[in-house]
Amino acid sequence: MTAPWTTIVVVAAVAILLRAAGPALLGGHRLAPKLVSILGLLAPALLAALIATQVFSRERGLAVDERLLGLVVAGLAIYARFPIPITLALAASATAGARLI
Amino acid sequence: MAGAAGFSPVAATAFSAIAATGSGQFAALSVLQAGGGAPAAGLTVLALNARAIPMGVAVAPVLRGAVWRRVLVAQLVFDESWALAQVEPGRWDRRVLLTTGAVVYVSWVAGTAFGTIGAASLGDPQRLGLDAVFPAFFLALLVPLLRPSHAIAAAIGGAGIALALTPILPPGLPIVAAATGCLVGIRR
Repeated sequence: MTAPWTTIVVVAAVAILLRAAGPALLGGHRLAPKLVSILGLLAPALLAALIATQVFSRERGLAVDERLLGLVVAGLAIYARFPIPITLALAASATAGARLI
Repeated sequence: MAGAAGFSPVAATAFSAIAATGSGQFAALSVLQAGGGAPAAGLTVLALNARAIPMGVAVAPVLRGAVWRRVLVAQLVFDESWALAQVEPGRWDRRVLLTTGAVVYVSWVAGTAFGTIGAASLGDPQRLGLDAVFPAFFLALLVPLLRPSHAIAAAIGGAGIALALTPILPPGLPIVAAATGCLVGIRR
């Protein structure tokens, strides 16, 4: 694994500068609606990409295994409006349980 | 969860204290776990947290004072405090923003400290199914964002791009490339 502290510094700088950008530089300005909608779509695109790679990637390839069951259980728990900690515990138990079988 | 990416409890807690971006930190850890480096993690967080720019512009009118003060207070603008402090569409309450922001920050840092110390005493993460926790958490963050139909298109596009590129590109980059999935939604 690459140095945790390098990642901490890089990610913290990115997060802090993004939060500062609006109030420091752009106060009183308005962003073009099209730009706002593009920026708003980055989060869903990336979250979906993170889910997909976490569930299906193995080494450098793709695979379907017990992790998919965990994701399905998480989806059901979210649909049923369970709190996030319970949702995460259910997803982990489903994947762990399937591995035992 | 942080332990799996080689973070000690101290490093994980410092990460929460300095970066204070829950989804961004989990995303960065995912990139590292997949074998990517700090630059790929930084780019992923840049794209994931880009929503902070329009959020910051929206609350800018209630943040007063010199630039350094506005920048400091802006660090308390999280998804949660931003949403709770919007007292009516397009108008934010400064007090609510600061209070909820401080609560979110303190509980996130304290939660990380306790969580990573507790997790260090657990056994094999795979056997406990802990690798299913990351995607479950991202799904919980994603679902509320899927209201407009072009957000669904962007999500499908992002997932498809990442999966298609996983066997081809070095680790970490497929997720960065998936940011272009948001352009899928723009056409509509």
